[in-house]
This record gives sequence, structure tokens and C-alpha cells, in this order.
Amino acid sequence: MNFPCEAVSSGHLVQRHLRAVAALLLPVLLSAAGAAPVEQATLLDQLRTDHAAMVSAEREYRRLRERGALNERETADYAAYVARLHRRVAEDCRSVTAAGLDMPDGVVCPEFAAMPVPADIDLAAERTRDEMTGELDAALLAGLGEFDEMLLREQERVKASAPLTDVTDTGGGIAGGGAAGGDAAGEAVAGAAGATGVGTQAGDAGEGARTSGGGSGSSVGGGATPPGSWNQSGRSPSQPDDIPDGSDDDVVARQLREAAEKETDPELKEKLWEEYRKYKQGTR
Amino acid sequence: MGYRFMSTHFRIITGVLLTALLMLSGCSTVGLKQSVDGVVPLDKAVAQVPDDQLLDVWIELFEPGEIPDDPDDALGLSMDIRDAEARYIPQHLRNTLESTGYWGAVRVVPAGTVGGEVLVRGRILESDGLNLSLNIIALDATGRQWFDRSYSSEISYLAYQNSRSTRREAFQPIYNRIANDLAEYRARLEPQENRAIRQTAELRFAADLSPDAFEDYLSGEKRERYTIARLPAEDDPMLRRVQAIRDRDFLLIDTLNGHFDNFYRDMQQPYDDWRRTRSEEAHALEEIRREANTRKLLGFAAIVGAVALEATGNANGYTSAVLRDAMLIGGAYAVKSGFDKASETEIHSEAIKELDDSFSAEARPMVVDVEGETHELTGSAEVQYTKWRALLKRIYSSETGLTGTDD
Repeated sequence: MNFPCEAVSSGHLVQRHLRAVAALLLPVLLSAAGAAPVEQATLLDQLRTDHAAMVSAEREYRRLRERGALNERETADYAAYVARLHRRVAEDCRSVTAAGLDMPDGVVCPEFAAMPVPADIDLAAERTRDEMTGELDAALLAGLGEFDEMLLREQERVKASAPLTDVTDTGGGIAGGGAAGGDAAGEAVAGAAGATGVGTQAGDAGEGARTSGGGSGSSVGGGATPPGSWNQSGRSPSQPDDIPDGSDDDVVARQLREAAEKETDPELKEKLWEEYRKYKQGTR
Repeated sequence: MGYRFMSTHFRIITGVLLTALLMLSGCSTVGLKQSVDGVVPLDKAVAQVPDDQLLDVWIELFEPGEIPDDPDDALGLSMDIRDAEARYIPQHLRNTLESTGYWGAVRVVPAGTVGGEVLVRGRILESDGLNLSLNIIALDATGRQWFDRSYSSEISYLAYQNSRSTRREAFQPIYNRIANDLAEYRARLEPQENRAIRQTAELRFAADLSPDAFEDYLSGEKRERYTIARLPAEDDPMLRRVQAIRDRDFLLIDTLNGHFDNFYRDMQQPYDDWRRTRSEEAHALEEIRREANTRKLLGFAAIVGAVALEATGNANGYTSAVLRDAMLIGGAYAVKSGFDKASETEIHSEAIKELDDSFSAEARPMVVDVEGETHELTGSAEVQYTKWRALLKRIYSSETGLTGTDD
């Protein structure tokens, strides 16, 4: 008699426990189930945004290079920015793959199968002063990259909201510096600044700070070897000597390496290799 | 006789030449106030200025000044219009300076922006379409004041008809004069002074971002005059970081100038239209006032004459009596017609008020928009700069092992 009674009572106890556990776990499970799609959507959005920014910046970079509109410093700066975007896209790709998501349409990422997983080491405790500085530098660079993107977006907005006037723009760039250049001169018809000996200078000033007379005009497509061709040593002909063979490359490094190898613009190529080196140094 | 003839001729020729010279120079200078009239040719560089000698000019958004106390002078003017002009005028000055070829980048910046090489500050003293008075202060990064001058110009309402056909700013001489004064001062600078200005600007920007690393490079008297105590190495990593941020600062200012330029271009037509129509109305108003006053004066004079004729007893004859009556009636009529004419001023005064109200209503949202864009952009930038300041502080500490000064 007692047994069934105990059994009943013990069964009730188990049920009560189960209900209590379920009540505790349910919100957690629900929130996890709700959060996961949000996080996944964020990852995909991030990848799409970064990829679009990379494609747009790269296209703009090549256009400006072809026009010879960038001086040496601007070229290096712009190339570094594009290389950073490459790295960011590579990192996004890794995150998306790790989350088990499919790549969005139009975004090309390398294959990620069978990539080595880094050992779980407390890197923070192992860092030297140089490494710490390197990390802070990387944070600074990332901040600069974000700021560049913000300004790029803002400049697009400025361009889009520019009034359609019949005043000749002599300056180019977003500032539209020479919008009233001719008017301002007081003696020439609008836009005639370019006709004088100093017009170019004034016009160039519109491109950005201290760019007068600038423009390195260095050629585009300096690499004679077609992308993807390799010499007998297995090293890409345009690969710098200090670049390792890549056998221990992870996803991001491999994507940066591929981008650098395929790149024909010497300045951008160098910046991509630089980004690769920095990344490798950071993961070491 | 021959000598006197020659002497007279000489005096005439000298007079003509002097007048011509005055007209050519287009201005008369009284102390620190310049009255700018006539044609002022813009001084342009005849050869390209070497890159390392180019100074960037930053023009702060002008102070709008105040509306005159006299109700007649202040008729229809509003602070909304002044606020718009305080953005429009520096932008036009920028365009003028850019077209000279003497300067590097010329940019309009919000007041208090750090890092400029040559800084131009302006205040609107008077602006009503027919008169423009500006106070301009120019100084460089070392804190040396180039000049502090007031420029004023008065034009005819007809100037807007010319400016419309030639697409030229009606007050262009004033802008040209300011540009010429800046170029004249710049020409006096030795190459090493130019270099010092550029270096000081860079170090001031660096010290603002990372005082721990760069404050000692500059010495200054109460932060009003700056001299370079020493220079960082060209490959100084902290300097390279600051330069990277400064490049972004230039880009930020370029972006802001995109907004300012859009505002300027949006404003150009309505502002010109307002000034032209307002000037015509103001001219008509002035003409009517003058005519009304003349009629009143003549009328009073006739009445006084009639009274005098009566008083002196010279109006006893028939002819004189007729003359007296005619003067009295004519005078009274003239006075009345003077008052009638004066009432016409109301129409033009109302027209001016309406014009100003209408232009204020058009300009206000444009000013609000551009102010909003400026605040949004500088606000985001300031957040970013605060982060960078903190990062630079940590980097400096990590690189040198020094903890630096507390904020």
C-alpha cells in the first residue's frame, strides 16, 4: 500500500522538479532561440555591408588610380583602406561559416573545410610590449577604417544632395571647391580658373588637403604575370620573400593571401601583403 | 605765359593721373578701415607656388553680428538672414581665395577648429544688399596676427543688374581686397617662416590629440603665441599615427565643406534675388522720400514767401496779391503733395518687409539643415577623436613605459 503511495508521491516530486527545471530553462531556451536568428542576421548583414564597401572602395580606388588622381600618399592610404576591408570581409566570412550559415548571394569567400583550429592559449598573458602596442595600433587602424567608411557614406550623401546648378565645378571631389571659381575671380567667366596658369592648382586644392600639384601618376597593373600563375618553386612570382608558404594559414590569412596574389595594382598588392603580415603576426 | 600754361597743364595731368590711380586701386584706406569701391583686380599667382610653400587657409564661419538699432536701417533685416549670410560669405571668400593660386587647401570650418595653418575670422558689421561691412582678422598657427581690418563697400542697386548678366558677385571687390591683403602678407613671409607655420599647425594638432607625446615640442606664451621647441623625428611612430588621424581630419573638413558648398549653391539664387529686389525697393523708397521732402520744402518756402510778401506790405497791388495767393495756394498744394508722396513710402516699406520675411522663411530651413549636418558630423567625429585620444595615450604608455599625464 505504501509503495504505490510512495511511488505516486515520488512521481509527483519528479514531476514538480521537472516543472521547476522547465520553468527555469524555458526563458533561457526561448531567448536563445530568439537571439540566434538575430545574431545570424547581424552576421550576414555585416558581411553584406563590408563586402559592398570593399567592392565599392576597390572600384573607386582603381578608377582614381587610372585617372592619376591620387598622389603617392593618398594612393598608399587608399590601398591600405581597401586592404583592411579585405581583411574585414575575410573575418566576416569566417564568422558566417562558423555559425553554419550559407554565404549570401554575390559574396565570394574561400572554402573553409578542414581548417586548423587554433590552440586555446591565454594570449593576453603571453604578450610582449611590442605585441600590446601592435594590438593597440590595430585598434587604432580599425577605428580609422570605420571613420573612413562613415566619411565615405557622408560624402555620398553630400554628392547626392548637391544642387544641380549650371555653375562649372572646377575642383572635383566632394568639396566642389571651384563651384563659383569663375565668379569669385571677378574677371573671368565661370569655371575659367582652369584656363589660367594657376587654375589647376586651385582646382586640385578641391580634391583634399594639400594635394595641389599632387598625383603620382604611377601606372596601374604593374604586375606582368597574370594572376594565379606560379613559378616552379611554388611561390607566386610577385610574392615578397618574407611571406611564408601559407601551410598554416587560417581562413582569413588565406583569403588575404589570395587577394594579394591576384592583385595587379602594385600599391594595393603591397598593402594586402602588409595586411596579411599584420594578421599573421597577430595570430601567432 | 608759356610756363603758366605748362604749369596748368601739368596740374591737370597730375590730377587726372591721381584720380585714375585712386580709381585703379579701388579703395581708400583710413587706418584699419578700408572703404572698397570700384574695380579691385584679384591678385593671382603668376607661377605655381611650390608645394612646400603652400599654406592651408581655414575660414571660420562668420559671426553674424547684430541688426542695426535704427528702425529705418533695420527695416526688414532679420537674424535669420544674417545667419545665412554668416555661412554664405565665408564660402564665397573661400572660392575667391582658391582661385588666386596662392594657397593650399582653402576650407570653411566651424569656429574653434584646431589645426589650421592660416585662420581667417570674420564678423558681419553691416549687410543690407546695398552696403556690406566686414571685420576680418587673419592669423597663423603660431598665433601671429596678420591683420585686423574692417572692409566696407556701398554699391548702387544697378550693380545687381550687372552681376546678373556677368554672374559676378556684386560685392566682389571686397572679397578681392581681402584676398589681396592675405596674399600681400603671405608674400612677406620667408620660406622658413612658412615652414614653421606648417610645422606648428601639425604639432598643435598632435598636442591636442596626444598631449603626453607632443606638448613639449611647443612652447607658448599663455597659449597665444607658439614657438617650436624641438621637432619629432620624421619616422616617429606617434607622429605617423597622428598624421593618419590628421588626414582623416582633413577629410572630415572636406566633407563638411561639401555641405557648406551645397548650402552656398542653394542660397546663391534666392540670396541674389532678395538683394536685387530689396535694393530696388530701397532705392525707390529713398527716391520717394527725397521727392516728398523736396515738395514739402518747396511748399513751405512758397508759404513763407507769401507770408513775407504780406508782412512787408508789398502785396497791395493786384499783381502782387495774385502772386501772394498763388504762392500760398501753390505752397499748400506742394506741401500736401509732399505728404501724399511720403505716404507712398509705406508701400515700399511694406514691400521690403515682405521680401525679407519671405527670404527669411526660405533661408531659415536651409540654415537649420546645414547646422544639423555640421553638428551631426562634428559630434560623431568628436566621439571618435575622444576614443583615439585614449588609444594614443595607451599606445604612448605601452611604447615608452611612461604613464603620461592624467586627463
